[in-house]
Amino acid sequence: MPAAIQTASPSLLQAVGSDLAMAVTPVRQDLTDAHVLVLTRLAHAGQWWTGAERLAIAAEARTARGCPLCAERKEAISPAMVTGNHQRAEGMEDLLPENIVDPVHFVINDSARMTPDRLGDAIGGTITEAHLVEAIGIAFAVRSMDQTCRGLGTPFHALPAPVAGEPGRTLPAGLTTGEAFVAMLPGEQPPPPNDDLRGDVTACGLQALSAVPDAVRDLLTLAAAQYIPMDIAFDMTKGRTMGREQMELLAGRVSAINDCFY
Amino acid sequence: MMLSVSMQQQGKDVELTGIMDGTEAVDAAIPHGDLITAFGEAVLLGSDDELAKARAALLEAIGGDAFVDTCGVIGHFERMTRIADATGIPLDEDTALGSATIREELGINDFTMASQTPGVKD
Repeated sequence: MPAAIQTASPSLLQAVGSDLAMAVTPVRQDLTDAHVLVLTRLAHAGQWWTGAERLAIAAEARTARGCPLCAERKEAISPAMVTGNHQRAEGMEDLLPENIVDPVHFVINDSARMTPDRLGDAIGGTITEAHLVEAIGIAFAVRSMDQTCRGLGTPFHALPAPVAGEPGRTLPAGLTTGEAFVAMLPGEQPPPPNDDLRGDVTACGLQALSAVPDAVRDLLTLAAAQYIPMDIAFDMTKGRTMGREQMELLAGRVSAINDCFY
Repeated sequence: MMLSVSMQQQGKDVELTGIMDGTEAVDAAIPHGDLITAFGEAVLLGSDDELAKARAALLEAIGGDAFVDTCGVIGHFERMTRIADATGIPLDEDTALGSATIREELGINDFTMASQTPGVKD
């Protein structure tokens, strides 16, 4: 049984619907629904962060877009050459430990130069690798929705109010290390309760965040609406109104701009 | 590699340099590929004015439904590229084998994260 929330918040449905109604052309309902569901989940406690902390991470991911320190570091030959303080999300400064702020900004602006040491530097105090994985998943979910909105010509969705609750603090069984910078579940379908994470598809991209299975579920939710359902993603005859070759051209160009090898 | 496969499904070959070099180099065999690429570049790198112009041109060319698809694809790959890099995952084995020539030709093996895939960089 998936742990992730499956019921969208009615108030968020209205708010996101209003945002996307400002697009230059009508937006499919499934895309609206996916954004609402992920925002609904964002407001609730995850496995390692409370709802308030998850929203603060989301706000940091947005603030990172205009962070002067990140911009200077991006231009440097090595990111380690530039030190200083990040621009912080207003009103959220006390919600997050300092050592989670830098990795959130870094993965938004300079992820192609991530190293195991840089991730490791963030671990300590109350922050574990699983905290990092969940934070990365939140940051990228917000980035994904925001960039879709930027394309559509709509405002970014307002972040919801947090829902009270404590994190689950449970790691999935079967994590392995050594293949990536972070521990992951193996490529095959995991046992219950995480036997909804793979389907027939084995892909490292689906394994990457699997130390926090709900982060993979968020990815699957958004992917199905913004790209193509992952269980048919490798069938190159499947597309949308946009042709598959058009989709893959764009995918390749976005990857190249981001200096992404994958 | 997935672009190549999708074109092969249609019995066509495709020139991939537009992926690395941008709009001017996009293969004309991909319908409106130049406008799609220009729009993607504008979302990621452009000013609001540049984005508005690219958006209007693309919307007129491909229509509303495909335009919405385009915006979603950009959002999806803004996420997937960062997930891959931030977590240091290797290429899937099949993808690594099937993309060896393409990666070499386009210079993709020079990207930092290439070292995460066995056999790509020493």
